[in-house]
Amino acid sequence: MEQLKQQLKVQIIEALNLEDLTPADIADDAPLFGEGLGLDSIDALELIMLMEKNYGIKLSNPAEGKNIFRSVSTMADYIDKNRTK
Amino acid sequence: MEHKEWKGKTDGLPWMQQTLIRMMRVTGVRFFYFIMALVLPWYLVLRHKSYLAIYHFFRRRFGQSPLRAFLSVCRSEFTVGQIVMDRFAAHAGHHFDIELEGDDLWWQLNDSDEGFVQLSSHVGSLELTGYCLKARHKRIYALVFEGESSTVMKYRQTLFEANNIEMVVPKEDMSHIFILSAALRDGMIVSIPGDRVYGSQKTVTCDFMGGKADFPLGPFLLAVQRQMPVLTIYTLRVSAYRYRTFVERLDYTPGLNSREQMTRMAQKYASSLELIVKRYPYQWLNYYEFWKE
Repeated sequence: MEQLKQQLKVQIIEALNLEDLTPADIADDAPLFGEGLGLDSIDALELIMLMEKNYGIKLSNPAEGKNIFRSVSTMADYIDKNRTK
Repeated sequence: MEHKEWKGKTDGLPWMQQTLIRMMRVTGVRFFYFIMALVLPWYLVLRHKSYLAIYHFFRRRFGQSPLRAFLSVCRSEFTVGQIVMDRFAAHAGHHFDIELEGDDLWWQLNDSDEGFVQLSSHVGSLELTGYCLKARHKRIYALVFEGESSTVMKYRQTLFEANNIEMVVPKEDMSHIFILSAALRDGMIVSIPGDRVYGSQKTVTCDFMGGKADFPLGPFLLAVQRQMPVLTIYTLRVSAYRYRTFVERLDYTPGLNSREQMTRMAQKYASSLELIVKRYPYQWLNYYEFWKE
């Protein structure tokens, strides 16, 4: 799981073009949206594609989206349980 | 006025709008154009910020003299009022003659397996667009602003549902993002305004009508990240009961990365919108200071 979180942080930085950040700057449980990394709905679009391309996860339930993207930990947890690649 | 402050909702309380729709069922729409003309001067006084924004639009974008710009604002207010009245007339069951140009592109994509993005704009009648192109094999997911009254939303819902359109309202929990992204993935149609900044303040600055203006990044990101076809759709008022819809495809530019592609696509949209706005300046509905300078 730790390896997955690290990999995810690298992918988030790359997908969202967060050039000023390193994986070490992103705490596992820090909120990705709002106060934490300060991401917004446009970034959510990028994260949806990240999950789809890298892990074969097609998110289709809008109600669970925000919970999945709450932090790197919640994303990693969801990926671990639902990945198809 | 900032983009985020301007809501663009229809004036009037729900019961007033309901009464208007009921009256239109028996009187027709022309009578209400006349009534509207009587209250127009009050609008110019009471909505001073909107007045100034449109006044600046004619002064700075069309180089008009102060007097001519004032007269253009009056004409613009009247034309936009007619468009609003026409929308209520549509809710009341009136039929509009809508000529379609370039719609073969739309039908082609509608019959294919892949999804596509149709970029709407706040010029002419956004809503009548939804009533004239009825999806045959796909569902249209249309991003719409929630601030409209219950009356407008109720009638919209009824007419949109008949045309296979589902309204998607931007929400704090970002559920709209998941709905729109999934719709494209599943081969559906996403209709989204390309000229209004909702929610995220991430924008692309484009050359537009001789100045710099910010356009929302979201619509272009949605399309580019899945390499979906992009169409622009404009429905403009020609005369009483007559509208014309223009459909145009915005092509991708080969050899660009995603970020460059988004920027290029936004600029293509802005250039396309510019041609329409120059042709139909009195139907510009963005009643706020749209340009950066």
